[in-house]
Amino acid sequence: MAQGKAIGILELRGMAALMGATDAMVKAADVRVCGRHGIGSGWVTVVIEGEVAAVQTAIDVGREEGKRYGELITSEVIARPEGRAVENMPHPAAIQEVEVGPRALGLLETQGLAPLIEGADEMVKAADVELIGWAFIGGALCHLVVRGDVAAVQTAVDAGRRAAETAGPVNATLVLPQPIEGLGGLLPPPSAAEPESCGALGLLETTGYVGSVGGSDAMIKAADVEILRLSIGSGGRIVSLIRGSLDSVQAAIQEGAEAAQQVGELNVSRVISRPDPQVMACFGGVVPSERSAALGRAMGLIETRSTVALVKGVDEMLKAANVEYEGSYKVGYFLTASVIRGDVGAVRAALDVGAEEAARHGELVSVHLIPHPYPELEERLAHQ
Amino acid sequence: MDAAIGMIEVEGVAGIIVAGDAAVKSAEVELLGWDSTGGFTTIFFSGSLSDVNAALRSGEQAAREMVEYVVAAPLTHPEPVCRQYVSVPVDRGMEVRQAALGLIETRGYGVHVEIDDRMVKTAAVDIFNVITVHNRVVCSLIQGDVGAVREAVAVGRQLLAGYEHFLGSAVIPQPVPELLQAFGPRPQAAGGGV
Repeated sequence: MAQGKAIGILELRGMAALMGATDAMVKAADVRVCGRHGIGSGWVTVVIEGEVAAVQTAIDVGREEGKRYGELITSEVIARPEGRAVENMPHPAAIQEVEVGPRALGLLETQGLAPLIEGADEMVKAADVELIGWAFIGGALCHLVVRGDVAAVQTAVDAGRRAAETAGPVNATLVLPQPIEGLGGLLPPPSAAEPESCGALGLLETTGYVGSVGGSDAMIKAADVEILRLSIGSGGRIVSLIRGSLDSVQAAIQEGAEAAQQVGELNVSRVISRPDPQVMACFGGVVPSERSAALGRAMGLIETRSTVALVKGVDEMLKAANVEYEGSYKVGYFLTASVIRGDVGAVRAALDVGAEEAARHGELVSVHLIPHPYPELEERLAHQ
Repeated sequence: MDAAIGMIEVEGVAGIIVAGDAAVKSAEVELLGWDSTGGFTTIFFSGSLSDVNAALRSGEQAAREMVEYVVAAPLTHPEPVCRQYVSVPVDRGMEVRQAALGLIETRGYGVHVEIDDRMVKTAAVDIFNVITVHNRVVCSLIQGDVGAVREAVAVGRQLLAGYEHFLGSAVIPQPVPELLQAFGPRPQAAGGGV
């Protein structure tokens, strides 16, 4: 933060809105991006600095531009910021500066990861664009960014929107023909994995951890498929990604969707018959868990929308039967889950008691018993 | 295993700061820390069962004056694992200044830059911490003399008069040190943020 400069704050809902507005602001006046902050549910803030008049001009432009792509929450100009206040605010300049380069940028923003992956696949197939990466900004909003020549990016974004809409809601799309260098701090981190081709890709999106684990367990038992990852989103959404031959993936997804529906809340299930290698590199990278698998032991899962209810339930479970606490996971949207282990009978007895106790204190979302979890599933579980 | 544990859960974070202060002042309990789960936060304290129950009652009452969603429950004889749910434990090594604490909570981050700037200019207060929990809840914590904190919070509220996402404010004239050590600044953002 430079001395004697004014600062401007713009808070919007959605990354398309923030990137569009920031690009316009920096082009409109002599201002510099000096911070960004996200607080979940898709609300993101950018902080700029410069001379008062420049900041005022930029914020006026940013407000209008932001409203084209999303919802305006707040905009503010502080002519003479007090260092003690502003320097203590948690908005770093960038999480990871990504080089912008001279080429056009395209952005697709969706509600949930399934439509994003569906859109990404169509985008890289429709035109010669490079997939930079993707990110979540809370409230189930996620976005991806592609780079290429203007016409290619425009074609890809149009095609991506159409494809994504078949799998879920599209929040916004954005094409920046000539992005400014300062946008680097807003771009998603690039994917590290090497592009590879594979058979078919299946995705199962649930709200809640227990539904996802239950669905994944069913998928791996239904057909010869490999679980790539349980991609944790925000807003409570989790996508379980599998790959295998088209037949296997189709069979697995059908079983998995049914199981997920019974255990928790299923949002959407999709099969992409021939995913592009770029899409696999971006979304399909294997994320192994660091847990050692508790082989051969039954697994009990309980999920609530209250920490008090969960702790009460777990406390009762450990007292009621010979089971061990293994770990917990929070997926956002007020959801929190815990996992216990033991013999099948003990886990079943514990879950009955725990569910009853938890429901007495708060909202009980899911309870699920997996008598015989496969190691292929264990290796991908996310709880700690 | 001897001590009971009390838990109070509310929506947002200001409510449990107020509840935690009331709980610790009303009975012989030790503040353990807090946890946030997508917009709800829970405060944990331990003590003998009767102390925990007394602390729960006053903590719950204090929280209800601020927020609608409040859940309170004791663990009479808790399994040791229950302590693992305290994801942000009290940092007993943290150096804190004994001074009044002011809280302003909203949904949305942008307004906090503005109100924090205005509060620091209005009265001799310092920004103690800015806490972000999930579901867009942001809480500014300021410190100073009681009078200064009251004045600053009043000005902050005035600025937020037209802001539809204002959630609540409070002034704790003499917060217990553990409370400051639980909600003070950490190397990495506690409770999340995206």
